Order: sequence, then C-alpha cells, then structure tokens
Amino acid sequence: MSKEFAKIITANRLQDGAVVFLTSEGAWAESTQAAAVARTPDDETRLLTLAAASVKACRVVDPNAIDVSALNTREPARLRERIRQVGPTVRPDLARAI
Amino acid sequence: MPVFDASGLVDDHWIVLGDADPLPAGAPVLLTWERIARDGEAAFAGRDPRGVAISSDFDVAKLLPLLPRIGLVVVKPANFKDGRVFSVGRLLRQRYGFNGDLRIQGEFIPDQVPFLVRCGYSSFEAAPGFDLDAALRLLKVFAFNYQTGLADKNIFALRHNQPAAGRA
Amino acid sequence: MYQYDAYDQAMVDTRVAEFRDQVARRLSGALSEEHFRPLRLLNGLYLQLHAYMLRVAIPYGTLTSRQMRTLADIAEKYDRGYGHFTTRQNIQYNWIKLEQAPDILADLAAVQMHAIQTSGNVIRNVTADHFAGVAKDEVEDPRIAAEIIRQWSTFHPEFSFLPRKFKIAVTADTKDRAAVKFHDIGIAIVKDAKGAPAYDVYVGGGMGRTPFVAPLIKSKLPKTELLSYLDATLRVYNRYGRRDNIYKARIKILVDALGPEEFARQVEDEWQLTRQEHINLPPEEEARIRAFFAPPAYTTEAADLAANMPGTNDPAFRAWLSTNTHAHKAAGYSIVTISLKPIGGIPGDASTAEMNRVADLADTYSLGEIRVTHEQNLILPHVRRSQLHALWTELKTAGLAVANAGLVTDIIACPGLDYCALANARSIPIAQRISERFADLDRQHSVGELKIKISGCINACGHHHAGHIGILGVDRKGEEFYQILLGGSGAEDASIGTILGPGFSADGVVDAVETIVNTYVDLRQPGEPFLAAVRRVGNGPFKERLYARV
Repeated sequence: MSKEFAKIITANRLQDGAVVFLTSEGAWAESTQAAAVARTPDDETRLLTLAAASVKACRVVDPNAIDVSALNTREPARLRERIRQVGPTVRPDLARAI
Repeated sequence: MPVFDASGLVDDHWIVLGDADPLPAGAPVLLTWERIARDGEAAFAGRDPRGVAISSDFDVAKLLPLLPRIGLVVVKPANFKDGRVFSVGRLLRQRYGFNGDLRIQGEFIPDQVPFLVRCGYSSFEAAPGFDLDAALRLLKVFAFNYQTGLADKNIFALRHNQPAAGRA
Repeated sequence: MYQYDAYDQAMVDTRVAEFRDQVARRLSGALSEEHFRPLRLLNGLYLQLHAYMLRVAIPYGTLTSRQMRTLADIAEKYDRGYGHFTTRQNIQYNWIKLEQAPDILADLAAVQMHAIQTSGNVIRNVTADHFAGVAKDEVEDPRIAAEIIRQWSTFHPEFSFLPRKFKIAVTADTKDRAAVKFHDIGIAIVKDAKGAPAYDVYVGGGMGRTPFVAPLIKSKLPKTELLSYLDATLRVYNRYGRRDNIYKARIKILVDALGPEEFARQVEDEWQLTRQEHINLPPEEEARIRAFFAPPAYTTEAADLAANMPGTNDPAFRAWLSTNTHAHKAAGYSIVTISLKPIGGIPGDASTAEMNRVADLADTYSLGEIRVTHEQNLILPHVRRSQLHALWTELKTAGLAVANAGLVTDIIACPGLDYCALANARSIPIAQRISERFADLDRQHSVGELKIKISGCINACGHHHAGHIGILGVDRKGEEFYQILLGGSGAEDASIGTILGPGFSADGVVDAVETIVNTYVDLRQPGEPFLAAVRRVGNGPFKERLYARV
C-alpha cells in the first residue's frame, strides 16, 4: 500500500441505509467508480464540507473519509471498508458491484 | 425560554435569582439549591413562593423538610440522555408527596415528554428549536400503561375492572 | 403460550404509529440523527455496515408457527431472504430500509410481535430457558415471570434512558440454559424453605470488556415482590450507575465498585420503600398470566410411552437422538433441537424457506410451537417419541437434521465484521472453517460436549468469555487476529475463560483449536468432558502443545 494521500468519502443513505460514496458534484453514488478522490488534506476538508451539507439535507448519515489505494482509488485500504464496499464476505451471492 | 405544560404554552411568573441577588418582595422567586443551603431560613424570608433549581444528580431526600414551602422544583439534566431526571420526578411525587410544579429545564426531546409527565413533571422549559407541537401530540399517543404505582391508567388494574377481549 | 389482549395489542399498535411518526420526522429533518438515534434503537433499528439492521424480539424464546411464518415473510418481503437468530433470543434482519421499518413493525404487531427495546439503554428483551415449561426438573415455568417482566419493562417511564443497556434472564432449572449469571439481572427460580417457588436474584453479571459472573444479591425473594424489587434495583442503577464513561456504565461496574454487600444493602433500603408503593403485580394478574402457560393437552398413547421407538436401528438417527433430543416433562414426549449450524454454514442464519419449513414441522409435530435458543438453534418443544423418526426424516430432507447440538461444530458466533459496525474482525468465517475441520460426525461425537463461542470484538456478543473454547477477534495493525480463551462456561457452573497466550491469524486459529481438541482427547479421563478436563489440568498442557517450539 502506497503512503500517498488518497481518500474518498463514504456514508450511509438516510432512507435505506445503503453504502454510498461522494462524487465531486456533491452527489452520492453506490459505486466507488464515481467517487471523488481527495489527494490533499485540503481536498478532504472540502469534500467533508460537501458531505456535511448532505447530512443537513437529510440525505446521508455518518460521512467518513476513508483511505484508498493511491494507485487504485476504488480499493479501500481497510478490510472493514472493503467489506462495506462489496458486502459480507460470507455471502458472495449478495456481493455488490464495485 | 418558553415554558409549557400538557395544555400548551404557559406564562412563567417565576423570577430567577442569582446567588447574590437580593430577594424581591411580592414575587415568586427561583433559587438555586446552593443558595438555600447557604442562607437557610433567610432564603424563605417573606411570604412569597419559593422555587428551587437542582441538577439531576441531586439527592432529593435533602429537599424533604423544605417541600411544604416550595412551589416549584426545576430539574436540569446533564444532557438529553440523562435518565436520572425520571427517578428524581418519581421520588419527589410518589415518595415525598410534592404537589407543587415540577419542571424540567434544558436538554430533553419531545419524545421524552410523555415519560416525564408519567414520572410527575408538570411543566417544561425547553431549548430554542424545541418541537412543541410534536411534544403535545405525543402526549396523547398512549392511552394506558403497564407500570404500576404511577398516576396513569394502569393496564393491570384495567384488566380486572373491565375485561378486554383479545385481538388477532 | 401468552396471547395478547386488547391492551397488549393497543400497546404494540400504538408503538407502530409512534415510530411511523418518528421516522417521518427524521426523513423530513424535524428530528436530527442525534435525537433520532436513541428512538430508532428503542425499536431495534441499528445502522450497520451495509444497511439498517432490525432486531426483532422473541420474548423468552417462544414462537408460534404463525409467528415464524411472519418472520419468514419479513425476510422475503423487506430483506434478502434470510434472518439471523442471535444469542439473546432475537432475530436480526440485515438489509432493512428505514422508510419500510414502520411497515415491518406493523406486520409484526399483526402476529403479536414487536421490536420494542431490543436495543438502546433500556431493559432489553427478557430471555428465559429455551426448555421452559417442558424441562423435567424445573421449579415452575420461568416464562410466567419473564412475561410479567416483559410487560412491566415495556415503555417504563423511569428506566428508558438508563446509563447503559440492561438485560434480564430467567431460569427455573438446576441446569442453567439461559446464562443468567452473565446478565445484568439473572433470576433463578428456586424453592423456598416451605417448598414454594421464590427468586434468587443475581445482579451485575456480564461480558464485554470487563466480564463478571453475577453475585447473588437477594436470596429467595418472595414471588409477589418481584416488581418492587426490580424497580428498586433499577432505580439504584439509574441514579448511581456511571454516565461519564460508556465502558463503565453497566450495572456490573456499579456492583463491583460498591461491592456486592453494599450494593445489596442499597437495593434493600430502596426496596423497603418501593414495596409499599403499590408497584407489585396484583395477584389476580399473576394468575391471569400464569394461566397462559398451562401445559398443552399431551397424548398418552402407548406407542409414545413404549421404550422402543421406530428407526433406532439407524445409526445416523441414533446419533441425532443422542445430541438433539432431550427428556421432556411429559411421558412419551421429547424436546428436539433443530441445529442451525450446518457444516460450513453461518451460525444462526435461516432462510425464508427454512423458517417456513420449521413452521410446518412445528404444526405437524410440535403443537405449533417453536423455541429459539441463545445458542442460535431452534427447538421443537413437544414432539411425540413415536414421531421422532418421521420428524428426523423430514428434517434431513430440509438439511436441518445435523446431529451436532452441544458438539464442537455447534458454534456460537456474532455477526462480526461481515455485518457489524462495531466489529474488529470477522467471526463467521472462523466458525465456518472450524466447522469444516471437524465435519466428521463420528469425530465430533467422540470428542463430546464442547462449546466454542466466537466474538468479533470486545463487546462479546458471541459470548467468548463463556466458551469452553472462546475466540476473540481483534484488529492488529490492520490484520485480523484471534485470541483464544479456555475454561469459560455460561451454565450453572458459570466461569470466565482465561486467555491462553499470544493470538493467531485466521488460518492459525483453526489449527490451534484442533490442537486444543487433540490435547484434550489425549489427556482426558474416561467419560471426562472437555470443560471438566480443562478445570482439572488448567491451561498448562494446552499452552505447551500450542506454543511448543518446533
């Protein structure tokens, strides 16, 4: 894992709890494909501000910046976040597209 | 901050006194427990009603000798999850027979108001932005309750006065 | 079993309406997440890794076939076709939408069920011995007390914002199947000096990061005084339990800090007052509730009473009989355990089809009644002995006849990092790998009773402290790591397991468990169960084999 700064913002959608990722336009996508990648701490702060507005607007809850691989920003660094992204490892039949 | 009771907003005529403020004549005053403890009888000079403000962790047994001369107890929770206020209410009403105004002041949410009423609270002083309509609506939701020993309609008693037919 | 009257029904119906209003206020923004969170938790609704999770109460583990079909329908209609039976006689659904949660509660209310107080800092779903009412040696049916407690604790105005969650369990047998000494309050129904039922009250047990076996706080409490004593205990806790540190907020910390004697004295002082405050249940109400738990009409046909029953020449059936059936209080009947631990399966999970199948079998073979165990299995409590073979045959077809109840593959596991927002490591895959390792049924039976319990974090939902072999998943620098504990028990001889030594990787822990089992088999005396052997020899011989330098 590279130590280069790379983070994306994830949350759960308020209505259905689905795992979602913040896009650069401030929308929320179910896949990491469209996720905005913060390459600097300033980027991260800006994206978290966008996310906070979504919390206020009752669209998502619990936004978080998570580390992703700098080379493949669709790959979260921590196992917990990889499981959130894909689904329970014990139910591959329910796996989500990343 | 606005004060309401089970029927809606009420006029609050209590004057809040700081611990150094002189006692005015002709007005009901709300004192801190610390001032009452400090001043003793002097805190009750004159004939005006006295109120006392306590925190939720206060040992309410200390109020027992004073209760006949107290018209208002204000209880302040540390935050909205501070469930000690409910025990304070039940002790004051049920055990010590307090029949003045029992008020919660500060952090609580509309959905707690029915529980507060059931534990003996009679007035409410909420923070700005409090959803008063929701609180008043929620007060009418449950018609009866399971817990014994409270002043509300108890299911265990109702069952044996008027048998109820089952559903489903 | 208990049937709602119009009051009970009105309470759950009203609750559905109240929650619908709360959800609407949340979605509109009138309620913030901070304020909504405790309210949704009071209705069993969590936000987990993938979605909302709904925990539905199965009070004291008793279900009708009709209720089980509703649980199956909910899995199909609102979730992904399965549910997870937990270690506290609840069922959890993992893929719930907030906007649909009120509809689910309405479906539950239609069959006299609810999700009330299955989470949050309140008195939780009250649990009981899953053999209640049918256990041979019980003093009386513990579900009577449990139902009284369920009603008393429902929307209790004083105790709905406690320092922390509060769990109560009831048992009435000398064999404790409800783990009462690991509860905030454990009630053991015993006989008083005159032979009448009374309550031994244990307070301050628990697992989590500070495990305690509960001390006995009140011996032989008269039955009529139950609610005033509970009120007194809860009031002492509500007033004096710590609220400054979530990890020190459970009643066990208060009991430990004061010492059991001083805690008992404070409760006693409070109780001398509450007992005069009209809190105890009116006797006619106790009688009304008791009547619902009268034994069903059992048959006494000769075929059931005969010692020889059909099918016993089949060794597979005999193996299942030996582990998955228990003596019933009525002659000619057996209690049947349906294992939800197929080899390599997910402990406690059941599909819609399986739940419906169990409901059908309950109708055919068990007077329409089902139990849920804290060990994440199901029970058919009233099976005629003459029909055991027919039932087993049908269970086998459904893949539900695994003869492993109480054996090494009957593993308790919390959902772990696969589902849970609090977990540090996965639990389920470890259970699956251990189960596969010991798949051979003859080997399992020759090892004998062995309870493995796995938690994916220190909160210990998988009861690892109480496992004969306990496994605790931790996060070590981003890697899943597993500590092993030995010698715990959640039964009447309750004890807390002790950590064996350095932890293992996910692969290593499966090998380690096998080494422990092999060590036991080598050193056991004739007929000596695993736990007895560990207590006799201590951790030493196991440590030596596990950590021996090659």
